[in-house]
Amino acid sequence: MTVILSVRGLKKYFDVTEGWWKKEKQYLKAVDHISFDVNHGETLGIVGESGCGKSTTGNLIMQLLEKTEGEIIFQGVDLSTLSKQQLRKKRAEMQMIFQDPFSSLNPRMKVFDIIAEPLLTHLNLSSEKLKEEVLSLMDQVGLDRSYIHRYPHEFSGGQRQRIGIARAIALQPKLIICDEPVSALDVSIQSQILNLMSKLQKELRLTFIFIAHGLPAVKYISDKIAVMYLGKIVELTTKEKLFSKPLHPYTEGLLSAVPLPDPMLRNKKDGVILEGDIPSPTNIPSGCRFHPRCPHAQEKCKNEEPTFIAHEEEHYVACHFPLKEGVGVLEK
Amino acid sequence: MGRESLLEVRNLKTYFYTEDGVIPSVDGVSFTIKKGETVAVVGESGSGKSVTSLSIMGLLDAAGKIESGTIIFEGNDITKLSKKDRRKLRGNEMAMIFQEPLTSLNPLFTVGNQISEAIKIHQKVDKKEAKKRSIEILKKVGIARAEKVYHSYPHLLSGGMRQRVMIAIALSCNPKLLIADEPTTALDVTIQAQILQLMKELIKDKQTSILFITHDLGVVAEMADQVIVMYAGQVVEYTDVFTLFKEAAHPYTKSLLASTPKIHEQTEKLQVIEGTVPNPNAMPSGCRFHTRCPYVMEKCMNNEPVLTNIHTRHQVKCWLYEEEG
Repeated sequence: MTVILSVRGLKKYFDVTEGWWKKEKQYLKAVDHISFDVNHGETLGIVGESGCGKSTTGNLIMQLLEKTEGEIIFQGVDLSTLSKQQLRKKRAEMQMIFQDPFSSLNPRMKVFDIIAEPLLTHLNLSSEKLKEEVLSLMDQVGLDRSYIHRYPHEFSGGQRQRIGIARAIALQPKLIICDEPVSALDVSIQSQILNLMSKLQKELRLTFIFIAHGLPAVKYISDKIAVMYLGKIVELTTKEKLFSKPLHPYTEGLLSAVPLPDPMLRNKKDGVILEGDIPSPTNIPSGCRFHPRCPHAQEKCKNEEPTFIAHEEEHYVACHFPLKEGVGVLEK
Repeated sequence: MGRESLLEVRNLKTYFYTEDGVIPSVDGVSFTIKKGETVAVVGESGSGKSVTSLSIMGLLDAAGKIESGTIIFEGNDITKLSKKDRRKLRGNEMAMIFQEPLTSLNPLFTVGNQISEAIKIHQKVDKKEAKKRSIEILKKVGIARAEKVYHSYPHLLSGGMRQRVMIAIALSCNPKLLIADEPTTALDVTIQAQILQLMKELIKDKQTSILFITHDLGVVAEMADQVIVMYAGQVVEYTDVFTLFKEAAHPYTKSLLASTPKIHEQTEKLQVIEGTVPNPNAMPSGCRFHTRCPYVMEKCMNNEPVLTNIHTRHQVKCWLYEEEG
């Protein structure tokens, strides 16, 4: 398998210094030195709670935000070395699907215009060819052809998300970043969209980065999963390993916090309930940033930041004392 | 299970009168909540689950009206009460917590102000006593620095803390019934676990009955005793939580369970419910689920099935089970 995207030491600090006279700058460390690879044709899930930097990571890869430091290498090219024009061309190969299908579609554009826009920008098609292309995209995502002249407000959330997907796949991209694509949808609609996405992935050999806070959806669609906490990746491995034997105490806590749809398991879960709130990314705890909430925290964790290393093959973790008997939820 | 019933909803119909015509948001809903029991209402958007809870609380806006049916709370039909009597009931006997704690707390008043207000109005105590009780209750919902939080404004608190404050306000007058409308949907999953844990402890302590509105089947499995599944304003299945997850009978419930991704099982392909929830302006004839049902029959298209017992305490509204009933 070939690596399609490599992220190395990526950082994004937002300057949040208040007042004119303060000498010391204050930063919100949204993404704080993360590295990972994504292979062609696979799905990397990025999970974490609010403020962990998962959406910022997506926006940085898409070049919608300027990074503070680090490298984003897409198909062997460091994106920051490209000129504006070159980047524009490259962008055709990476697309994004957003969370809120209500605000990510222009209410004044018809379905045809929304889906045709990327084609018009990047390709030079005759008007018949363009219409043909748009119709075939609508077929692919399961939108009825008769909807072509309708406006977004006439559609339900699930159908709007289909329009967003059609727009994203229009230029036959290699990589699609999906930022919470199903979070705003009803359960029965979520499964429709998830199935559509995995169908398209197979047909078009797409690579996905699937960003979400909902573990069940991430687990369904991903091959590998990165768990983020306060701007750092704390654990990265295949979904089987992550869900059956987590190494990081945060991952374990996150897994045990998800209510399982089976009342028989109600009191049998031996996981831990994490205490406390998620700290603010402007005021990150010293040492391991998870230590104030960690049930296994020791002296070392307060002072020394753990490095992100391979604990075993394909299983990376940033923890001084990785769990020996991590409690997962998946029975083998 | 010989517990006394606290709330009985009988054939409740709540309609909204809008410019586009009459919308039957809740159309003939019946259920019972016993003392100390948690009843969950599950459904997708537009299923009428929130309107059901607002009808019980008496918090419908001007366009909404209870058309018919009765809501019997401790033996009295509360739909017949005057506004004033209704208000007395709210807060004292029944309380509600909402999905978004930031919009349900007043940003201009301190947390303490808002909790002690409820206590002063309903328990007729002076300021000092109200403050004392407020701090006590803040401690009870797991807020460590209760004195400090008492003097804070809502925007200074995190989402989880705000929801704890909302629970504190709701429980300040020891209500017999707590209506929780998606109380954890806006929270992060580790914070959700804390709040659910807290609610469980409170139920155990006080024997509070809870009507728990949610779309998350995981939360239902974690919290509920009885479950009501709603679709397009009607109850389609009504049974205890164990039966529901083991032997769901209605095609809608079955598909809902099968289309939920599960983290504790390997899933190759998710089952899908085709189509979307029908528009309340244009409800399908016959069984309202027939347009999306994989087992649809001739009969379903024109005749509406009735909610029938297929076993003791297991009601289903579906033609598939009609003969056995």
